[in-house]
Amino acid sequence: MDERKVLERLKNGDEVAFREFFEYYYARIFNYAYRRVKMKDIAEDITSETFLKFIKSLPSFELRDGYHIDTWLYAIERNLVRDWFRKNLGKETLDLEEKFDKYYEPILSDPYETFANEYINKLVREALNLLPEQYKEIIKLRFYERKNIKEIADILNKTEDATKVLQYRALKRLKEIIEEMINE
Amino acid sequence: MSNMDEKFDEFDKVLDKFLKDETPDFSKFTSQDVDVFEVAMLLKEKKHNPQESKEKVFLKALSSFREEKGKENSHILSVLLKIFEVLFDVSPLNNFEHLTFDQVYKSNEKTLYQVKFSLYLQSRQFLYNNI
Repeated sequence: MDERKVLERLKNGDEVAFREFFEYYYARIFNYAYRRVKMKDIAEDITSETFLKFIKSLPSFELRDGYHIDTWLYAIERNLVRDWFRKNLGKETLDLEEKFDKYYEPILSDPYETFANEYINKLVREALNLLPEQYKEIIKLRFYERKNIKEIADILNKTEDATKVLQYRALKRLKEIIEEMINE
Repeated sequence: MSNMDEKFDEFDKVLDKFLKDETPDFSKFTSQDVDVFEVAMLLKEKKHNPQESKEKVFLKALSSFREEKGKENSHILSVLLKIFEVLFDVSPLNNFEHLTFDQVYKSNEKTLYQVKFSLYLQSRQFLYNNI
């Protein structure tokens, strides 16, 4: 895709160019948001808002040498993701996300997504193996087998309240292990 | 239910919605809950087909694209109109002086012709011509 030509056509209000542009970037923008927030509706809203902000800034945007449209789109989207975290979780970004970003310069290209996902998944798998058996079991049941608290309580022969406490402590310990692994 | 039980219960409610891909309410989360929830975000792996909702997002974006284009066009038109007004003074308040009687007559605008004619009769030019 010739970015300069596309940009020129977009500035002229060419709707065919807009469709081409949308087709080219949609999946990447959605996947980036989804990888961060892990919620389909929120990822959709962020994707939509990214396009809207892009359109509004279009008249004043100039593509400088060495820059790409996705650098700009990414900047808009990253701010929206940060805003979402700040508004809903009270933190501008999550610590682990920032730590991963230190290792991998985030850009919207697919190889980054694959590579970063592989790295995170590998790290989580290794951290899970370091958990005490009881913690490992509850995380496996809740996240990989998608069982609810009542079902897990029945399997583990515990009360629902005790299962909720166990779940919380297992996640807390897992986070500590992941942090130790990152900081090594 | 004790405070601690409530805390674990609230956490599970949010987690449950999150795992069902519904939008949870995080308002009762403490900063410690957020830290723990971060791990849940890493653990949730569910593939999504972005194509499903693509058209909805496209239509919203396209409508905004058209709106922006419309704004720009109306902006250009209003600038051109201003220039035109300054050059030719097309305001109806100037007694249509930019139009000749002939032009007004040909335009088949009877009311305008009457107005223009009566204004002409009142004008000094008329008096001067008839002195």
